[in-house]
Amino acid sequence: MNLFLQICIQGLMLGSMYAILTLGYNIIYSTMGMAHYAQGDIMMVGAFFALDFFVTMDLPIYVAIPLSVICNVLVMLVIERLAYRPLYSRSRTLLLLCTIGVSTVLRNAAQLIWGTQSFNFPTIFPGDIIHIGEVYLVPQNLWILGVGVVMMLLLNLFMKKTKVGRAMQAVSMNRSAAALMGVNMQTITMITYGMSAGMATLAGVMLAPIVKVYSTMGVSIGAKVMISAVVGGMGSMPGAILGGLLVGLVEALGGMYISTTFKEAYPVVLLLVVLLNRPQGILGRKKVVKV
Amino acid sequence: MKTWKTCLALVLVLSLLLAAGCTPSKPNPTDPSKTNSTSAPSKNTDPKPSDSTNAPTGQKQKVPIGVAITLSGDNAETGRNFEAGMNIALQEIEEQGLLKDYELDLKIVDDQNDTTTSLNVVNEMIFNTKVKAIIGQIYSTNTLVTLPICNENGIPMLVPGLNPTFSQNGYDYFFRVCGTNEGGQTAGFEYFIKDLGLTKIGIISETSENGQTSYGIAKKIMGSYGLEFVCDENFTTGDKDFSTQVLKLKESGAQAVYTTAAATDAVVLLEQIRQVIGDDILVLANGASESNFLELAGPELAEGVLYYTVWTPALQDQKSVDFVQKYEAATGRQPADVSARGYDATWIIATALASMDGYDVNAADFSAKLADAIRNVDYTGLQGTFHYDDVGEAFYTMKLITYQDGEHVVVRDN
Amino acid sequence: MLLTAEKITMKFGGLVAVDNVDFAIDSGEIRAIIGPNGAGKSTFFNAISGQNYPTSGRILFDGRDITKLPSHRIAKLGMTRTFQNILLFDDMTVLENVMVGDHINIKTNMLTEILCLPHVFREERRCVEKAEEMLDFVGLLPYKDQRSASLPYGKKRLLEIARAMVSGPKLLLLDEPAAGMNAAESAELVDTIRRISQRGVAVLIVEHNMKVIMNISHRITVLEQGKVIAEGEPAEIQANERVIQAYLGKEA
Repeated sequence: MNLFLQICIQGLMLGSMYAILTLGYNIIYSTMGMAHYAQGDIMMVGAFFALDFFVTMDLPIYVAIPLSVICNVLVMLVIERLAYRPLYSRSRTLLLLCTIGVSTVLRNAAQLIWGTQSFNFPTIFPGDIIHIGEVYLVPQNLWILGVGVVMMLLLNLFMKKTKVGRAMQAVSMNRSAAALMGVNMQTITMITYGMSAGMATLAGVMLAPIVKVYSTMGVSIGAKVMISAVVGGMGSMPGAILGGLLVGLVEALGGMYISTTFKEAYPVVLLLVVLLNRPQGILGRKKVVKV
Repeated sequence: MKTWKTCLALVLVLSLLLAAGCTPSKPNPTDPSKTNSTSAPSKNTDPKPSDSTNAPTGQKQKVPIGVAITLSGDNAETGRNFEAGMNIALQEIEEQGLLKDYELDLKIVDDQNDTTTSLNVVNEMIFNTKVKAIIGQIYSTNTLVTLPICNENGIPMLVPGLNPTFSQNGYDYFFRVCGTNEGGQTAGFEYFIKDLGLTKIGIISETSENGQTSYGIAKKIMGSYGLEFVCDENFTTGDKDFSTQVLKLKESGAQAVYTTAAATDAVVLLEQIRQVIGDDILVLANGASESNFLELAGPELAEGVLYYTVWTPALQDQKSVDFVQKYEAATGRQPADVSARGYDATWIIATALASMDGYDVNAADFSAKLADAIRNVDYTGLQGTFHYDDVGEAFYTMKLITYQDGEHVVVRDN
Repeated sequence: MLLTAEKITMKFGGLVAVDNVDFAIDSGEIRAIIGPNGAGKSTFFNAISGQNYPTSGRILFDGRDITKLPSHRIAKLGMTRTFQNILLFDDMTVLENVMVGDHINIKTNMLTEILCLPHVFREERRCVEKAEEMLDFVGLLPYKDQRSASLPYGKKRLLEIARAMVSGPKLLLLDEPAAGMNAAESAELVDTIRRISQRGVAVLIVEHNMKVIMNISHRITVLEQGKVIAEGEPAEIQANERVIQAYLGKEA
C-alpha cells in the first residue's frame, strides 16, 4: 500500500510539472486558437536565462527569476511579432507548422549560444527528504506542486475578476464580439503570450535542478504537455491541471506496475483512450458548429 | 506572377539541396587541430639506410587516415579528449622519428554522435577522400552501422568503442583499441559478487541498442554466478524522471546497481538514488568513465561511484605518469580514458605503418597490407600490450575504478 | 447632428450595394432603416459601425470622421451595436457578459492588475454596479449569475442590448433585434428601446418587423437597391406608394 501511495505521489509531482506548462499552453490555445508546439522550448530558454542570471552572474534568486521572466517574455513577444502574427489570417495548420519551426530554431539557437552540453542548476529549495511514515517527499517536488496550485488559483482569479482577464476569456469565446466591446486584439495577444512565457520560465526554473539545463530539455516535456492539454481539454484551465496530473500519474503507475521499458508510451495510450471516448478532452468544451 | 514565384521557390529548394549535399561535417571550430600530419623534412637527413625500394628517399608518402569522433553535442568533450590524446602521440611519433617512409595525414571529422551523419562521414572518407584506415567511432551505436561498411571495403577500422559484438561478426578489418563492455562488466560483477559477497544486484539499462547489448552481457555474467537481478528496469533515452526505477530499486533491497546510462543521465539517476535510497547502495555506471561526469556530479556525489576502463589517470606506471603530465601541460586538464584510446590508436597505426617498409600507398592492396601489419603489431601502450587475435581484440579484461575525494582510484586491477 | 453619413457608396467588385446614400441621426432619435431583402441595409449598417469600410463617402460621428476607423475604436467613441446572430460570450454569466461591455471604461491595465493596486478593486466594484444597474434596466437582474447560453432567446437579445448599453454609448445600433421574437418578447423589446431613448441615447434600428418599427420609430429611412427611396415619419412611410411597391415586389 505504501508503495502505491509513494508512486502516486511521484506521479502527482511529475504531473504538476506538466500541469504548469500545460496551463501556459492552454492559455495560448484558448485565446489565440493555436497549438503552441514550442512551449517546451520556451521553457528551455527560460531555464537558460535563469542559469545565466542565477549561476553565471551569481545574482540572488529573487532578482534572477524576475529577470529571467522578463527576458523570456521579451523573446516570446519578438517571436510572436515576427513569426506568428503574419500567419494569423491563414490556416491553423500553417500556424502549427510555424510553431514547430520556432521550436527547432530555439533549440539550435540555444545550442549556438550556450552550447550543447548539460549544465548544473542548483536547487532553490534545499532541504532533506521529508518522511511521513514509510512515504518520502522531496522538498523540491513539493514546492513544484505548491507553485502549480498557486499559479492556477492566481490565474483563475485573474481571469474572473479583472478587466484584462475577462477580456482574454471573451476573446477565447467570441473574437469578433470582444473586438466590438473595445478589446484590443494586439494587446490581448501580447498579454497571452507574455503570461505563457512567464509561466514557462517558472516551470523551467523548477525543473532545472532535477534534470539539468540543456538545449533539448523542452522536447520530451513538450510532447507530454501537448498530450496533457488534449487529455484535459484544449483551452480549459482546470483541464490543463487535470491533464497534467493524469499524465504524470499514468506515467508513474504504468512504469511501476507494468514496465519501465514503456514508460514514455503510457501517456500516449491515455491519449488514445481519451480521444476515442471523449475527443474534446475530459474537461473540454464540445465544439458545435451551426450549419 | 504566380509562375514566377513558383520558379523562384524551385530554385531556392534546389540550391538548398545542393548546399546540404556539399557541406562536409566540420570539426568543432574551437578545436585547435584540424588535420595533422607529421612532416619534418629535417628527418630525412637521418644517416640510417632505408630498405625501401618503393618510395624515393627523402620523400614521405602521405597516408590519409580518417578519424570519425564526436566533436559536437552533449558528448563533444569525449571527442576532444580523444583528439588531445592523439596529438600527444603524434608529437612523440615525430620526436622519435618513427615514420621514415610515411606521413600521417589525419582527416578528423565530427560524427555528431548521430548514425546518419556517421554513415555519411565514413562513406565520404572511404569513397571520396580514399582513406587507408579509419580510427573511430567512440559511441558504439554509430560504429554498429559504419563498421560493416569499412569491413566490406577493406578499410581497417580501429575502434575505440566498448561494444563486444563488433568482434563477433568475423570481420577481418576490425581492431579494437580498448577493452569491451563484457570485460568491464565482468570486472564489476566479480567485484560485487566475489570480492564483496553481494547477492542482491540491480540493473537499470537504457532501451537503446547499446544499452540493451550491455544488458544482455550483464545478464549472462550474472547467470554464470547463478544469480538473477533483484531489480531489472529500463529507461528511455531522454527521460530524466527515474523516480519509478529508483523506487523499485529501493523496494528490491538491492545492495548494488549497475547502469548503462551515459554521463548526464547517470548523474541525474545517481542524484535520485542518493536522495531516495541513500549512500549505502553501490553504483557502477558506464557514464562515470566519461570526462564530464566528475564536473557534472561534483566530488561529493561522485564519491564511491564505480566504473570500468582499461586506463585511468590514477595509474602509476611511468608511461601513464608521463602521459598525464604532457596532457595537462598541453590542455590544462586531466586526461580521460578516451584520451588513452586516442593515444594508443595513433601509435598503433604508426607502428604498423613503420613495419611496412615504405610499401606504395597507391597500391591497390595497401589497406589490406596495413590491416595485416596492424594484426601483427607488437605495441605496448598506455592501456597495456597490444597483440591482436583473430577477431581483432587485444584485451579481455578491464580495471575497476572509483572516485575518492574527486580523484580516480583503482579498486580492482585485473 | 450626432451622426451624418455623406454620399456613402459601397461597391463589392462590380456590385453596388449602397449607392450614394445620405443619412443623419440626431441625439435621442429612434431611427429605423427598412427595405426589402438585398436593399443594402446591413451593408450600410456595417459601414457605420466599422465592420466594413465604404468605397467612397464620409461618416461623421459627434464631429469626428470615423469612416476608416476599426470597430473597437468606434466603440470607444460612443457607438455600440448588437448583431443579428447573437454574439454572446456563452460560457460567461449574464453579469460577466455585461461587464465585458464596459471594457473600454475600466481604468485598469495588466500591470496595475498584477500589482493589485487599490484602484483595481474600486474599478471592479464600480463595473459590477454598473452592470447590475443595466441588467435591472432591461429586466434581467434575476438572471445575473446564470450562464448566458442558457437564457431563452428573447432574453439573450435583451442581454446583448444591456451589454451594448453599459458603456454609456451615445448611439446604439440594433441589427434586427426583433428577429425570432414572439409577440410578448417584441412588446418587451419595444418598451426597452423606448426607455433607452428616454435616457438620451440615439437608436438606429435595422428591422423587418413592421409592427415594431412603426411603433417606436421617430423617423424611418427606406432603402431599395442601395438607394434611399423614402424618408419620413411612420405614417408617411406607410402611405408612400414607392415603398409599398418596393415591398410588394416586381410583379406590380
